[in-house]
This record gives sequence, structure tokens and C-alpha cells, in this order.
Amino acid sequence: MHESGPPRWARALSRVLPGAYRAEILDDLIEERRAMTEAGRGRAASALWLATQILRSARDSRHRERVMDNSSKLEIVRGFPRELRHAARGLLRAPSFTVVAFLLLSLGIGATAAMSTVLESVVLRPLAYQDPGQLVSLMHPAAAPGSGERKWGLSVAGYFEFRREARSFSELGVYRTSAYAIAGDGAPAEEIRVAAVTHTFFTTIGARPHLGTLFSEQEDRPGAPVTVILSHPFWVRRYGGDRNVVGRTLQTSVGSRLIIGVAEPGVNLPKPGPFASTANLSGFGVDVWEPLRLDPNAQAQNNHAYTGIARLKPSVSASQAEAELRTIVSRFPERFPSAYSERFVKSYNFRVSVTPLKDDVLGPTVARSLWTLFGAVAFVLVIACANVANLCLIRAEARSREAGIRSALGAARGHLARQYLTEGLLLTVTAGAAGMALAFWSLPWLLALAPEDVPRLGSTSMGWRTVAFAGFTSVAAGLAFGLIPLTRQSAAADALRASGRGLTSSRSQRLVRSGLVVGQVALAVVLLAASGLLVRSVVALKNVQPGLNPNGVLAFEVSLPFDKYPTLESAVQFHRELQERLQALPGVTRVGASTAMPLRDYGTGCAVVFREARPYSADERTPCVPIARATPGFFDALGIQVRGRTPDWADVDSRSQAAVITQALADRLWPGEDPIGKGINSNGPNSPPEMWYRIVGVIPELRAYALDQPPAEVVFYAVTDLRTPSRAGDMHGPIYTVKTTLADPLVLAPAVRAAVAELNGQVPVIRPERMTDVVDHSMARASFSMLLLSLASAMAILLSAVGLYGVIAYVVAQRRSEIGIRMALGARVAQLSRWVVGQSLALAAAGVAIGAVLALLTARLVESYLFQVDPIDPLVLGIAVVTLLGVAALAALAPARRAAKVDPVEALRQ
Amino acid sequence: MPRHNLGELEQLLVLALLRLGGEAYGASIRAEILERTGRSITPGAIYPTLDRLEARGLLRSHMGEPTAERGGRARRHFHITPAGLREIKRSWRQTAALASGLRALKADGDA
Repeated sequence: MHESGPPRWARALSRVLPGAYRAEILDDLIEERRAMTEAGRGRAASALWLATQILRSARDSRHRERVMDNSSKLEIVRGFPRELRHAARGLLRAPSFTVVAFLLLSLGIGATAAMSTVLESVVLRPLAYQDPGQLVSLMHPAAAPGSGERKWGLSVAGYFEFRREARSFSELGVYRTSAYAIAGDGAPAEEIRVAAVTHTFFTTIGARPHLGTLFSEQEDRPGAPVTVILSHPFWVRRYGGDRNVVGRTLQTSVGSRLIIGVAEPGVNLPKPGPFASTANLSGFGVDVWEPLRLDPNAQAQNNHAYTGIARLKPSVSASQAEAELRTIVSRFPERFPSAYSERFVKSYNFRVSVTPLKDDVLGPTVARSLWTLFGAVAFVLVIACANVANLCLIRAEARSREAGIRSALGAARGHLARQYLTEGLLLTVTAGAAGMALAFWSLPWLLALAPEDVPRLGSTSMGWRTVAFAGFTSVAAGLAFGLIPLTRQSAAADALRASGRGLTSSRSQRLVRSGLVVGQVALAVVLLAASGLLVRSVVALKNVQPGLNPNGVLAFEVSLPFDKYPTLESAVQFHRELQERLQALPGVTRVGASTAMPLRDYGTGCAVVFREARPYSADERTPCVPIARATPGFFDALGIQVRGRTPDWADVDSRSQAAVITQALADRLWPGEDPIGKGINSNGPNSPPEMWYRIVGVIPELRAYALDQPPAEVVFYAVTDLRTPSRAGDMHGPIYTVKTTLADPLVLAPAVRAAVAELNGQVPVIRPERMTDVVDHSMARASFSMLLLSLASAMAILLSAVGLYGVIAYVVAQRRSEIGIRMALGARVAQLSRWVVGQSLALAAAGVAIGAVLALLTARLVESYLFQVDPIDPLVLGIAVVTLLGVAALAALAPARRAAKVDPVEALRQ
Repeated sequence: MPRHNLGELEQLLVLALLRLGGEAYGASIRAEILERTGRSITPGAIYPTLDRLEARGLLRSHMGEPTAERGGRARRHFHITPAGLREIKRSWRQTAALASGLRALKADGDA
């Protein structure tokens, strides 16, 4: 018996095997079966064996083929480019949807990312110190009569006492900031920012030298020669990074200093010292470090000129440390009776505070304002997303027929889902990337507009939080938008079953879409109301009379070298000559100088003032007010109204000790009396007659601190000192005010530089600026918030209009046949238009109602930025409501016109 | 193509192929595995796997002379490539390294 091939039944059965292997498998099995029968197995048994083997082979090979086919993860990865191509093609097939959705999303994400970058850089990022969470700032809050609640710095005695007694800190240092001019090396004279620090300051913040050494106790001793450490940026800027700089001498306007080191890059003060101007915090940086050389044995003085920074020991909290310091401070009157009386502590409410350093750097309002602005921009993003979701819903409906057909033809639900998700993600991720690029490029513009008194703004850069935020938003939005068509799938099946005309949107879909639009309108009302409040607030600020006239005034500073001008008199002589020269420049009408500039340099320190012949009684609190000196011409140049007269050069020559005070201070010192002719000083209540300044003029009202603060209590002394020899330094760095008839006083700057250089080439002219800019800066925060909120609400209104338009246009398109019937039944065009506009207004009205309630609830959030405006302002809310209803009517106009053009015959034929 | 280790069936096939002198065909591999391990692997499982190994360049195949045993049809002969040899060595080293010194495995073997 010789069988040459497989039996017929086996051939037939082998069809269950995959074609590619069928012949080989069968051949193998037949070969084996022959061996079996030759070995004596029965025919039936071997036939059964063959059948089983064929079936098992079929099972095994099928199984294996499927594994290969799916080899699942691999296949998805390999299928991804194809999926992407599909998605891109799908998006390009609907260009108007894609372009609009892309623009909405990238604008929304871009604006939010830009704001989040600012928020991250200023508020969220930890300070750039070693273990910044352990750092705290030590201050003395006090409510000085005359200048209000302020945070004072530490005193010298306090610094040594805290270092000796407090157990909460591993290290504690103090500093103060100043500025002086440097010259020589052939480079032009420039003013540099100087931080004088205790040697413990660097160990407190954990700084290291880049070259040379940092200060040791040696350099920080009283009487030690002054050494300096250069900051890294200054070293690069001034010395080109010369490594041989250590051991050289820095020539300054206050003497020469030995350079002993260069600090590491990034070593900087967290904030300016307590008596320094906070007008420009955004780019604050130190050029040169000096040792403070405080004397631990000096007599204690009530002078709080030093900012304290300490590092908490591990596991000690700021509040525990504060409790310890409170105990120490409560012993001040007995430890330092010359400086701190019980009466002083009580009447000034003199306390001590330990604040996490970052909170102190940011201050009480910055974090909140930035979060609020971020929230506003995030609202816009939400509105944009709602709009895109609406577009997606409309598109999903258009595609539901396609999806229905495909799933009827056997397309797996999972496959469709993957396609939609890929499409959604492709759209949102590219829009997110575009938004990030937009944020990146627009950030410099945003920062240029930002107020300069925001700390840390200079180091703004996009960080991981922003990238993570934008990435998360993009992906989440992409998934959400991708899922929208899937919710339509069951509807799609119904749609297929129904006739072609049955493709109207269901009631629930319409509800979702209307809900999205109502939500948008509500958010837009909230934003519009908030920005309206800020606009009113800024208008109110602009209407405040600061008590000076900034128009046409040029302001700049000079810095006189001490070695050339060792006394007050020699400095004043320089100013007198310079004023004469400036006065002679074309366009100049009046020139003056002062040691403090209203709306810029006030609010940082105060000195106690006494009145002649009337010591403060036990129940009266000794006032502490800002004191400045002013040269003749200052009040006229700055347009400050003065009742009485102002000091002139004759007063200086005769040392008549003239002074000018504000009415607010007069009301405190001599209520109900005319202060002119009365004596005032800061030396003591029992001074002899020649030790009093004589008040010659009274300023009715001067907003020295800020426009939104009450008229200030301040004193201007003439440029002559009561004591002889006079205290040097008072007039070595004054601010000049030059009143001109020029439209832009800044054009005068070169002539000013020339005039100063003619007198002394080593005197730098620092920061020439328009006085109008100084005034503008003082309300920059309010203006900036207003600007951003207005932009956000403008975007919100625009987006709401787009949203309303989309829904109404869609309703009109869906109801063509209904409109046709109405027309056929004799409805007039006007009626139809009213009906369409009414649809839009109904949606808007719902949104406006919700928005108005939300606006009232969130009004408290913006309250702290408002000036003379009630957070619940019916006018603002009314305008917001009317604006959005108007927008709703406008958005419905085009759809209404389209409805009017419906041809009833054609509409009914469809 | 990303590298991945030989699967269990792949290892069995390659080892059997090596035992057969690096040159064999489907039925002989099957017989070798059955004889050594007592496992009966269907040709339906063997051929797709051999094809996959060939696609990965670990095996080569060529058609032999027509034989009477197959009714005058040719056998497909497989032989291992240097890459295949490297791959099986690597896989085996990994298995051996993990198994070495494992008391549980020894006890099992002894029992």
C-alpha cells in the first residue's frame, strides 16, 4: 500500500489552516503519519491523530498569527504616524473649524501661559538661596504717629542682642543699602548700588565666593579699613571678568576700598534695605558689598536702619522664633534705657516680627494680585475652551452620519475613538505649542508694561510649572474634545435609522451647547465687572491732586564724592552753582533739589520731631515723620503750593534755619493754630532757641507716599544744619527737579550732563526721568491690573460674541424648514428677526443673570486694589450687563438676516 | 526592529535545531522536542515561529531535494545563522544566570 499524498478528507480539513503554511504543515503531518503506520499503528488511529493534529495546528497558528498581528504596543507605535496623518487630514478637511479652534486655543493658552510665567517667577519659585525655606526676615512693626503703621528694620543694639540671646536661629545677619559713585579707570563716573552687610549675612544666606574671600569677622570690626566684594555681574560689567581684580583698589566717591573678593553669580539681597526706595524692585541688584563694621559696645540708639535676615534652626518655626524674640524685645527698656522707653514701646506699638523671607519679599499684595490676574486670564481660557467644545459638538453632529456608516460597516468603536482622540490631541497640542511660543514672545512686552515695584520681576523666565500647566491643559482639552464625538455615537446609530431629515440635534445636545454659551457670558460679565471697577479706580487715582505739578519737570540725581565735598556747606555750594548753570539753560524756568522725591522716596523711614516750647504731654504720642532737605527753588520747580514763603538763598546765607511743613503735620502739632513762625526740630524738646528750625511756609496738601494714601505729614528743612560742624552727607545725593517749558523735558538730559561735567567730571547724573513718569509709576500697579483685566474682558466679550453667533447661526440653519413654514404662513421678516435675536438674548440673559451673581460674589477679591470705589458698584455692573446683552443682539444680527433670506419653497422641499 | 529576547517556544525551536546539528526541517525539529521534553508541538505552532525567527535573521531556510516520503515534494530545511547563535547564547546565559544556585530548582531536579 503506497499513499503518495494526503487523503482527500485531510486536504479538505486542512482549509482551516492558514494558507501560508497549509501545504508545509500538511506535508509534515502526512510524513509523520506514514512513519506511524509503518511502525504498526492502525489506520483509524492514525487518521484520528492526523485530524486532531490539523485542528490543533490550526488553533496554534491562528493564535500565533494574531499575536504577531497585534504585537500590540508595537503595532500602536508603528500605527501612530498613520493615525496622525489621518487626524491631520481630518482637521484639514474642515479648515474653518480647525483655524478658529486653533486660534481660540492658542490665544487662550498663550495668555494664560504668559501670566502663569509671571506668577511662577514672582510668587511660586523659591528664593534663590540655599534652603530658602529656613530663611526669615526680622523686622520691627511700629505705628508711628504721623507716618502710620510701617515695618522698621533692626537697630544695632537689637542685632547684637538677638545674636547673643536668641536660640531659634543658626545664624543672623543685617544689612542696609546705599549708593555711591565710582570713577577712575578711565571709565565714566557711574553710580553703583552698595549693600553694607555684617559678616554673618553671607553665612546666613549660604553665599560663597567666586574669587578671593567673603567677609570674615576681621573685616567687620569697627575701625577696620573698608574692604569690598564685587558682585558677579558688576565684576563682569566693570572689569570684564578679570581674575586679577582681587587685591586692587576701587576708587569711590566716599574713598578707596580694597577689593578682597568676587561673590558667586546669583548672590544678591532679597530686597532693598529698610530706608531705601522701593520704587524699582523688579531689577534690584547689588553691585558692591561692604562690611557694616558695627560696634557691639556703642551706646544703643533708637535707629532702625538695618534689615535683619536669619536662618531658622531645623524644626524651629517662624512663629516660635517670633515668640522668643518678643520676650527679648520686652526686655529692651531695661537693657537699653537710653534708646527704648516703656512709653515709646507703648505709644508706637513697637513690636518684632519674624516672617518667612519670601512672604516678606513679596509683600502683602503682590501674590494676591498676580493670582487674581492669573484667574482672570484663566477665565478667558475657559471661555475659549467652551467655544471650541461648542464647535466640536457642531462638527460631531456633522460627522455623526459618517461615524454611523463606518460603525455599521464594522469599524470598531475603539478604532473610531482612537481617531477622534488623535484629532483632538493633534489640535490642542499644536495649539498649546503655538500658545507657548506666543507667551514666550509676548512676555517681554508684558514685562515692559509691568510696574517696577514688583519684586523678582527682573528674573522672569518660563519654568516647569508653566510648561506643565500648558501641557496638562492641552492634553486634557484634547482628550475632552476627542471624546465629544463619541458621546454622539449612539445618537449616530439612531440618526442612520432615521431618515436623512431626522438629523436634527436632540434636545439634550442643544441644552449642552446653550449651557456652554451661558457659561461664557457669565464669565465675561464677571471679568467685565472686575475690569470696570479697576477702570473707575484708576480714574479716581488720576483725579487725585498730588499737590505738585509734574508737567515739564525733569528729575535726576547726582552723587557728590565725599573727599571733594566733605561738609554740608561745600555740597550746598556745588548745588548752588549747578542750579545757576541749569537755570541758564534754554527752556528752563526753575531749578531745585531735595533729598527725597514725593511719590517715590517716601514711606521708608521717619525721624521724631519736637515742637518748641511745648513738650509732648504724657498722653500725646511723639510723632515720627519723614524729613527732607530742600534747596531754594525746589517747591517752585515741582509746583508745590506753599502758603507763606519758601526758603531762599538769603536764608541759607544767614542760616535762618527756615522750614516748610505740610498742613497735615501742622494739624497734628498745632491743631487750630497758625504754625508759621513756630519752631520744630529733631534734636530734643528742651533745645536752646538757636537749635530750632523756623516754619516759614505750609503746604496745604502733598501726597508724598502714594496717590491712594492720605495727605502726608512731612517736613522740609532748609539746607543748613542746626549743629556746627554740620552733619555731612545730607546733600550728597539729592534729586534735582528742573521745571521746563519743554513738551518732553527728557531732551534736556544731555545739556544737564554737560553742565554737571563742567562743574565736576566725577559727579554722575543718575536716572534722568520725567516727573510725569514718576507719577505714573506710583499708580503703575493699579494701571497694570486694569490694563490686563481690560484685555482679558475684551477677549472674553469677543469670545462670547463668537460663541453666541455660533449657536444662533446653528439654530437658524437647523430650523430652516420651520422658518420656511412660518414664512409660508405669513410671518414677516421683522417678526423672524425678532425671534432670532430673541433666542440670542434669552441665552445672554441667562448668562448675565448668573454672571451678575458671580460678580457680586467675587467683588471682594478685587476690593483691595480699588481706590474710592465700592466693590459693589451698580453702575459698573449695569454697564457689564448692558454690554453683554448688546453683544448678544449684535451676534444674532447676521443669523437673523440669513433667516430672513430663507426661501420657504426651497426650505420646505428639503 | 527593536530587539527583544527569544520567547520560550523560540528557544525550544532553536535549541532543537542546534541539537540536530544546526540543520533540520519542521518534522525533525518537532520529533526532537517531543523526544527530549515530552512536549508535542503542532506544526501549526512551529512554522509561524520559524518564519518569524527567519524574518529576524536568526534562521535561514532553503528548499531541499524532493523526497519520496513527502510524495515527491521538497522539504524546507532550516539552519541557524551566526546572529541566531548569538541570540540563543544570550538568552541561555540570562536564564542560566538567573537559575544558578537556586535551591528550589535543584531540589525539584533531584526529586
